Amino acid sequence: MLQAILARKLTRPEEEFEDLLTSSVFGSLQYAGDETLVLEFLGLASSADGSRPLAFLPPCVSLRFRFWPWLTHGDVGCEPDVVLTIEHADASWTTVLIEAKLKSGKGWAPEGNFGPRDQLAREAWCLASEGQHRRCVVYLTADFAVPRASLLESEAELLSFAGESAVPIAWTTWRALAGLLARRHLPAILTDLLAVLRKLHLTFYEGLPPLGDLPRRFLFNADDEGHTSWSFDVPTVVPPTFRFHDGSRSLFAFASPPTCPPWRFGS
Amino acid sequence: MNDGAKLKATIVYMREFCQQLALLLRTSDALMADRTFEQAGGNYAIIETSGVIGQPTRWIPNEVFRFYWSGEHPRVLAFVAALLDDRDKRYATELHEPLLTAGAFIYQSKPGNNWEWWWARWHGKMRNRRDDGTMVQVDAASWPGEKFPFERVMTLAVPLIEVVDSTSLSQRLIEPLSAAVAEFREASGPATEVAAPPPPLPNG
Repeated sequence: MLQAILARKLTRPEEEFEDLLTSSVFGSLQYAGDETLVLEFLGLASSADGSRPLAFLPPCVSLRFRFWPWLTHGDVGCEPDVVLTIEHADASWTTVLIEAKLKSGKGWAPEGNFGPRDQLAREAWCLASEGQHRRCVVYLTADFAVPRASLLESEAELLSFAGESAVPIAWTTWRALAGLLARRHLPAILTDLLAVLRKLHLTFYEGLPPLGDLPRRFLFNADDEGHTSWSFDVPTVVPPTFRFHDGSRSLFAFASPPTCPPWRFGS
Repeated sequence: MNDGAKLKATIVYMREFCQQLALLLRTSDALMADRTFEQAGGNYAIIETSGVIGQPTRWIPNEVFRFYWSGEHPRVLAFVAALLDDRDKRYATELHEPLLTAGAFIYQSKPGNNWEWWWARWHGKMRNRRDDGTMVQVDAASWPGEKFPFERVMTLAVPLIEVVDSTSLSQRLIEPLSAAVAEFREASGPATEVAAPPPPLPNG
């Protein structure tokens, strides 16, 4: 799937692409088997009040991914995108429900349904039935900053159903994952995942694109005074090596030392 | 690569350049939001461009920007702007390369909608401008003959190409700006009263 996205082989509407992205990202994280990376990513999720309910989790001994499971709490049901079940070294457990969005916002259950109508509140309500251990709903979007109003709205509706025992709702962004990946030495699958996130511009600012296509070679033609034709390549690495060519033949190379001495062309 | 292919590559480069500029500004939005600042100008990032045949020099933006304000800093109108060119030769000192700038206008009370979009170019207007990351502050009275609603203005800038990721954006622009405006943190009203519509967009 990653290769299909990178090669632009997918031409699907946004709603479907959201699921493909979710599958590609969390599928890659699952097969890469880097639990530390997943916990670090979840630890960045922030609540509306700025707290991070999944920061500083105990070390992980096992991590289970469930994609689009059906959860119920009484007569209320929901189908979140991913549910992660984390077993910690201290024998505690954490269950994290992930609701992933790309361009759409959170959904609403039709009027007349049981339970909360707000999608995040509904999912938090259903997650409460998954046991009494540590739980959290993570709203994963392409936003750059916490969508505070949206989180507060969900929390308010959940509070009216669950009271003080409500499961926390936090937010993070696809861009944070790209930032974590960019700082690590990655296996091939996560290298491709980072390439996909960059291709979709799901990153924070990473610098301007390199000026790779601007001229790098200067050509000097022969004159009437016996000088031959030659070319000069602008160095693209630091420290540079200056290479001088005569047609296809390399005349000489000049590797600059760390401190470059004065030099000039002689006759 | 022949000249036609180079021209095509330049156009493609410009599109990717704009994409990265947008990421830069939106990352700036997020970093400022961490410091309680929210956008003062909605989604606008460019002014004074034109799509008409008679103004081809305005087909390409001169600068891109974001303005910010905060209920915790009610006297401050802050901005982050990339100065790409000095199209109309209005800057006090020649612009040799694109700069990433940040700054703040300090008012006696809340700015409301008493500001102008073109102020995103203010660093270029500074006569004692420094492009090395040094914050420079001056009084509004430093421009005799011109009348401004703010009391003081401060700006800093670094070459755009030196801001290579969100960390350097934070360290070189946002943190110095945040530290400088903290001096002017004086409560003059509840946070909710700060929000006001931005000034109308200029024609063009």
